[in-house]
Amino acid sequence: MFTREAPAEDPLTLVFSALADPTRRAILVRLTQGDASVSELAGPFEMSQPAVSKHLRVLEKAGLISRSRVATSRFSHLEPRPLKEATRWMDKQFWNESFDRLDAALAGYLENQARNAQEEEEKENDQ
Amino acid sequence: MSDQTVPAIPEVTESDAYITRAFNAPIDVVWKFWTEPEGLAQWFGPSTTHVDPATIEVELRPGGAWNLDMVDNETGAHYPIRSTLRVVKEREYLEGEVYGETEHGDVLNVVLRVWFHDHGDKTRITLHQGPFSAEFRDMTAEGWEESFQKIDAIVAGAAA
Repeated sequence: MFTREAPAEDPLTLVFSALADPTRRAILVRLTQGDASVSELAGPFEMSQPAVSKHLRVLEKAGLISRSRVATSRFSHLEPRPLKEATRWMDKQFWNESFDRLDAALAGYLENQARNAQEEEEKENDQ
Repeated sequence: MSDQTVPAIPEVTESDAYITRAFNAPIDVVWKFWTEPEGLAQWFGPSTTHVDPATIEVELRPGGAWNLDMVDNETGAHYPIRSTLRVVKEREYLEGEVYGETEHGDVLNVVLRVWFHDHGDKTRITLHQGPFSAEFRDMTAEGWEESFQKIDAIVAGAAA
């Protein structure tokens, strides 16, 4: 039941694979200006509407956008929460890796200090 | 403007990174590794990077700099971290505004707060990174772009 491996549908994995594509990131940046229909989104990217729709489905599955229907158009809306969670995860990774290195550096420093103290003592005993 | 008091450890919000960890070293040693260039050079940054010792600059006073460049081990690309210290309480607390620069532009722009807790042979660090509730701004267009740039930089680093 509980495996260590992240399932394929793990939310963070979905967010990062959605963000791995530059077109999808550009779509998200466009949506920071306000909700947009598929044709409005297709315009600046020189892409067919079906191609844009495909990207939108990936973004929606990752929770990065929500979509609503107004008459015959579907409007995409930005959902900020998953991106915040992704950046917080990256910040934590940054510090955890740094702290692993700090751990090792401190151990090396203290070992060195102890060795120097011992050498001092031996020198004193020799005199 | 610098209020040199140590704030209480805040409640964690969804936009913050919060980490606490104990180290097997007395507080004066841990403090040294945070505030002296030779110490900082040995640990700051993810495992795929190292610090360029020549770029480290620490002015241990309010308004002082806390700067260094992280260098990608594979590509040699520099990722400068530029900070201005806001509060410095020796062996107790550090607070600074951090700006990261990448080839994609400035990223991060967060407040970093680090508490040092003395436990004799051990030291506990509590680190909080992010906007505090009072400073919290909604994800503006700019905020989003910063996050994307940060993701770009990290993806580029991982792919290298």
